[in-house]
Amino acid sequence: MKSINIITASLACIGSLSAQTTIEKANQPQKVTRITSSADQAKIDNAIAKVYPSLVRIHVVAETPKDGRMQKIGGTGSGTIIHPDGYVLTNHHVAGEGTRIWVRLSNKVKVDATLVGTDPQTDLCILKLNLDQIPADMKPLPVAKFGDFKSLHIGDSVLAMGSPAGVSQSVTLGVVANLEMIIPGGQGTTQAGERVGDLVRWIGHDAVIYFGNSGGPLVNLKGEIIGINEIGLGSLGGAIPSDIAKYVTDELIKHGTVRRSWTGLYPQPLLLSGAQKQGVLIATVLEDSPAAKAGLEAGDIITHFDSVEVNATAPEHIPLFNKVELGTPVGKTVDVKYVRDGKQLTTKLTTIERSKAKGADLAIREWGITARDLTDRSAIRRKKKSTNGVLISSISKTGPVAASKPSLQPGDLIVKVNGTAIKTLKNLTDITAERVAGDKSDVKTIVEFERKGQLLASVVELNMQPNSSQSAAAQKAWLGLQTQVLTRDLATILDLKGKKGVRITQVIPNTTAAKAGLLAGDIILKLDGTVIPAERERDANIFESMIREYPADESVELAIMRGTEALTIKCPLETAPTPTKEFRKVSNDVLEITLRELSKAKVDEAKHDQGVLVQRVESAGWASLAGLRAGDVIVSINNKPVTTLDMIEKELELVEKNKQDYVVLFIKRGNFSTFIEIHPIWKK
Amino acid sequence: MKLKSLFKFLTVATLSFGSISVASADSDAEALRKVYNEKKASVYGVKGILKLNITFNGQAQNQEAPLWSNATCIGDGILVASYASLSPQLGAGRPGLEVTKELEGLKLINAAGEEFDAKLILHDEDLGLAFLALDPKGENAAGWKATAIDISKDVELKHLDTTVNISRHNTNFRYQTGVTKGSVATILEKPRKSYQIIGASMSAPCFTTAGDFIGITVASSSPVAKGQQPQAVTIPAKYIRNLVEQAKAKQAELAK
Repeated sequence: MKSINIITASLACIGSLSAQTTIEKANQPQKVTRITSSADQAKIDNAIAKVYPSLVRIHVVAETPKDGRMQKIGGTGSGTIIHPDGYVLTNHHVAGEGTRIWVRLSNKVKVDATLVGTDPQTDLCILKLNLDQIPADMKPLPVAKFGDFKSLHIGDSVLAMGSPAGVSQSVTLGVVANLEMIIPGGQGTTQAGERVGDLVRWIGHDAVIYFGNSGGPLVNLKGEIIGINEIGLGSLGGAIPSDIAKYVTDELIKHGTVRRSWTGLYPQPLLLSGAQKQGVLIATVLEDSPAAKAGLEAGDIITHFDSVEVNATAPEHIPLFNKVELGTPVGKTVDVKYVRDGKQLTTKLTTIERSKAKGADLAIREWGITARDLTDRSAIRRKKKSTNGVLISSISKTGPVAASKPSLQPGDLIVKVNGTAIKTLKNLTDITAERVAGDKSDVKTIVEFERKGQLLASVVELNMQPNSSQSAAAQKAWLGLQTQVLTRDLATILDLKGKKGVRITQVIPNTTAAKAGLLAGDIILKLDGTVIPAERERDANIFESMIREYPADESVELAIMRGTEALTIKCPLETAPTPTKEFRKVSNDVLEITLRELSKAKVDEAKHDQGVLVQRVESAGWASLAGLRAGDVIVSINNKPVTTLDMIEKELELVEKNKQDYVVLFIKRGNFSTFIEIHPIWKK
Repeated sequence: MKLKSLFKFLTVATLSFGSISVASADSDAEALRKVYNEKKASVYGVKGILKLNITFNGQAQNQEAPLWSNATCIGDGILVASYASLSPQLGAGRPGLEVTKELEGLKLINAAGEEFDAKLILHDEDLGLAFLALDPKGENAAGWKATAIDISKDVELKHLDTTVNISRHNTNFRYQTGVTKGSVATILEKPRKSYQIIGASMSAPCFTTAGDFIGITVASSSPVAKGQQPQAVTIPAKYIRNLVEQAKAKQAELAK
């Protein structure tokens, strides 16, 4: 079975690393590379020495749109310092969408980094290290150099360097297996809507790589970068050749982007049954694209593009054609020679700039959506004449948009809000801010949107608040203990055959039950002289139910067996604590957590003498990313002890107001305590 | 069971408590009509939307179900109803099933079809009672005029005693009040005094032939009868009285 893996590592997979690597090793074919002499070993040592110091392990927080919010994901990858000014080359899929990036140098020092530019089309990106944080012993920065991809041969020894699974910088050895590796079937990895295989033919090699090696260099024995590891295809690793990597690096450093031409034609290899044996077959010409305007059609066979003879008889040839087409200077008018119905024809085609495949996503909490602008290409794909409108990329199932009728869906294009045309995401966020100014809630707003050619309208309640028609439970009598049913089997073995009742499993501290001397293990047989008719598992609620019959200020007499001793204990009842679902809760939208006070009715919470309980941690939020879990008890925040919900609410307001870089929580989790550093990115 | 069919089952099984069939025989229709005419204005229709988020073995689905019930005015803007008719038990104890409920757009409706916003303020799951209050910030709140029934008396019923049971119909019957002559079939002493009254309607009040309030009919699940369908029982006035103070306290919070 064929499998293609992008070899980045997410933090989530590190937990299962040990088992996976063992299996991976067991499945690896025997390596053919042999070090036969000390001279060979010396070459390897020399190559490692040249590149290893420049290796960095990259840590990234990226945000991806899902369920109406931007989910935060932590991950690691590899990179190489390729310029003394602190430029680092890695994969787009490692750091190209990172909202926070930092690296560990080879000497383990942590250095912050920023994104210089990214190129999803080749899955490459450039970072820049914060030079102020570079330690003296790393100055000048060690820099690795590019080698000549064209000098590489199948069978050459190569070294894969990087940080598999987020471990520190590591090296594996293998041989080049393939110099024009594609992913069979025309499939490939897609980055930000771009198919990497459209331009890249990978260097296939068998140096072991793993998740986290992504972005790390493939190095020849001269100690030069001849590829950037990106994918795994079965037992082979796939590296982006250094000629592409060097070009993209230079462009990104100079311009922050890689400009390419776009024509709107999509090629495929010539058909085996076709009469024409040379050229490139056009599979698709998008409407309104430069290629369509030039009169090209699906089925035409291009023989020359801008005077360059082009040919694609096999899938491996397609990236070569794309290189010519996409590499044409933007806006250049080129001659295209092509064959249609056996006749050789020529047309002039003026390329336009290849826009991004899709815009950047943004969460709009008031709507419960993530959305993005259209780009020229995404507009054409939707058969739109302009980029006007905002595309919904995901919705919250419990948000305002989901509650509207008809509800908006991912893929819908918002074109008007309350009669105002929405051309861009900024239009939408501006009008939203106006409508909810002053933190207004449930603001009814008419939205018009396009779906499959229809122009639909709906009413969305912006900033919709949860319905408050949730009633409180009536206050009832309660005993601060937990019980289990005295089953027939249990009764028999405890020499209480034929008796019914409950066994105390836990006495909640500081309750009247605890003060009356009730103990775990006591068996309650009667309540005020009445048998407790519990003898099966399903009778679990009977005792509690009987207690609830009493006024809360009464006392009850419990007939108890403690071991072999029969006791009668009089115990005052008390009012049942408020159910936790009725507790006041504090939600923080930035950290994405919900907090409440500790319940005295729950033993695991009652044992804490201070703190507030973390009731909910939204997955893939900042708090979740830092490791906070539901059930944790926050004892202090930024070194200030927390005793009430009001206290932490005020502290969180302060954190938000000051846009603090770190929020340090001291928490208790079961019998352990730990510090958690939450490191949010504050949006403007 | 597939998720979809489970949802259907839950809805059908739990949202439609029917009334018990009506007894026949007529002894003193005029006296009964007098009770009906005196009390009917205190019985309101209740409508709303029950929004459900149902997660079954990891698959989630949202559902909305319209609700219709009755509530009886027992004080200044406070009404009592059957809790199960407003917040039905859904799939309790079924492994892998999690249901969260939210009640939206709760409205009280009188015979003229006038609607008043209301809130559910208190419930007692043991008794099966729910307390509603007129939303003082709601639309039409100023036009609210209701006569509360007197719940201060305790009445003792015997088997086969006649009762007057009043309910309000939904939109199909233009919100008109209906009345049946009931009969006490069962008297439950434990865990608390309650009655099974033939002819009583869910969430609606029952009165003696003298016009004294007996109680509200609710869906009751005995803790010892797990897994069985809830039964319709009439909860006497004294249990309702015990909760009125708590309901008033919650009602006061609505005005804040």
